[in-house]
Amino acid sequence: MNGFLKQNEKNILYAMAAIGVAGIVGGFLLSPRFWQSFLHNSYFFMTIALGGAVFVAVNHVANAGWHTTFRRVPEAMTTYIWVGAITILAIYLGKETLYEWTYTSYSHHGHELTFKNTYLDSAFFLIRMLVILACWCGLTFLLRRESFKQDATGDIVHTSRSKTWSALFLVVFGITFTFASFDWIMSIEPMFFSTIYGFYHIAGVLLSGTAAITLLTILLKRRGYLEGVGDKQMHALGKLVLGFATFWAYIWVCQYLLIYYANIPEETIHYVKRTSPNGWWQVFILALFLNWIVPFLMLLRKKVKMYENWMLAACGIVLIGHWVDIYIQIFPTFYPTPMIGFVDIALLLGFSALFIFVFTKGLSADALVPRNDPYLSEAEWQGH
Amino acid sequence: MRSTNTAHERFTAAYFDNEDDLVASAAEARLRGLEIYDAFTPFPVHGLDDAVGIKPSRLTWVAFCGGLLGLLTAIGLQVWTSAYAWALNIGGKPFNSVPLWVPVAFELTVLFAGLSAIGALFIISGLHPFSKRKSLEGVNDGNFVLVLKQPDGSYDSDRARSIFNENGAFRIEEGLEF
Repeated sequence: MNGFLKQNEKNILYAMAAIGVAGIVGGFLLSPRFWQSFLHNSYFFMTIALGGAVFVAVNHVANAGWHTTFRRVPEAMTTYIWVGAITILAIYLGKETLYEWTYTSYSHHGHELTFKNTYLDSAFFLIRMLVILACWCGLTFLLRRESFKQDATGDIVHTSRSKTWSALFLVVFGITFTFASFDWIMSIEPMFFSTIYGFYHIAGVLLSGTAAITLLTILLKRRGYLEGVGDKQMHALGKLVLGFATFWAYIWVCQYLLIYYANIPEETIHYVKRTSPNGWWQVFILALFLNWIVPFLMLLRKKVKMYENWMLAACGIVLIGHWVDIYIQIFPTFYPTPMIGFVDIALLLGFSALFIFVFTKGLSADALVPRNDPYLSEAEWQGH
Repeated sequence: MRSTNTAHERFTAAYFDNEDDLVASAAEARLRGLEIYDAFTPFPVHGLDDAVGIKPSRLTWVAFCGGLLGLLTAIGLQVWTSAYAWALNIGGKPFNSVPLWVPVAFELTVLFAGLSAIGALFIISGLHPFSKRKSLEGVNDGNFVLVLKQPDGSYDSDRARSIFNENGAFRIEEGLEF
């Protein structure tokens, strides 16, 4: 965080962190909604960090060069995965509050649902969690290490190794993240299932990750860093946010439409709760607006993608939308009406401060712009 | 844009064997006040739009209108057939069941937008059947062609030629029509 933040900004972050700690301690002791809120916020920031990793990996695999001038931004975001892994592991302590399958056995017309009961088992749940988190931490560590090594030695072999690790990461991520969203979020309603659920969350990762990269890049640019990021890159990032917002909506409709059409009670219950008239349906529609309709209309024109303020607003809306999206995945199962309490706000502030601390620390680990990357000239050329 | 000439303009076409020379001479031609008619390359070249000073494409508006037409067609056709002309009860859903219109509405929006954009592109650039437009040699393989336009009255062949020769053009053509 050396230099990237001014002293008063650091003080604000310390205050946010203090509120977060107060929220965790107070919420743990007093609030019945602590664990839901903890899962909500730790999962939210984990998806953003993973978005950075996917962005780096996809560009490595595609032999892309345009992002080299700001590649350290998503790379620094991936350092949060280590911290996020600990917060996700802490979820295990609140499993009785979050997951009713920890103390229930499921049957249908007197037949025991063997697979469901075997799969939703506390020990197996923990093993899956450990494997998933180990994969993410390990592969993103290797990716970042190759990047630093490449920059130190200028050896092209590290670039091709990055490509190998990236390809492996993308395959592993697709599988592990599907299971992660099934285990940590979908199993809150153990009888509900949707096979596209994992893909729906991957769409959320792509959207919020790209929005966060754009937001952080603009903020760093405003502080005088990253001069190599020009209109071409901003235009490309804007196009990605626009495209992923539409992709998210596409998957959203895919899931909603099939469940609506088939009308099977154990599936429709998911949407019945989320569209109930006591306030939830407004939140449901709000998520759709914030994740797709508003950013789609905002980013349609070519020129606006190069206006920094406009892009900051659009990406901010997308990130709020992603937070609301995960909120509505979790809370309607537990509460008949929507509510945002002190715990939710305190944990959001605390996790935000944590994310920014880890991010700025990761950013200052090496040169902000790679010096010896073979793709650097391509990216710099586009920066003008 | 195709221009069937009425002898008010003359064109100078220069052939290059790489994109850098093309971009450099485009920038220089604009610097010296010559109007660029168009550039033809076998693949998209970064920075060419800026160097040629091309105006924002109007194709997006054609695609937008086509997409809107597709959306309205899809919604109109589905609502009319399913809710009015031949109302059928399917799975107990309402006759006018909005979520069910979404897939077809999406597909027809994309289809109409895509087809209208391609159609407009072919008509505007003279790629339609029976077009008399002449094709430039090797422009789909390895040749990069830059075409300048000058008014007939003030036509100055040497001005264009000197820029092209300095930047390594291997062939220069002049003509009244492109």
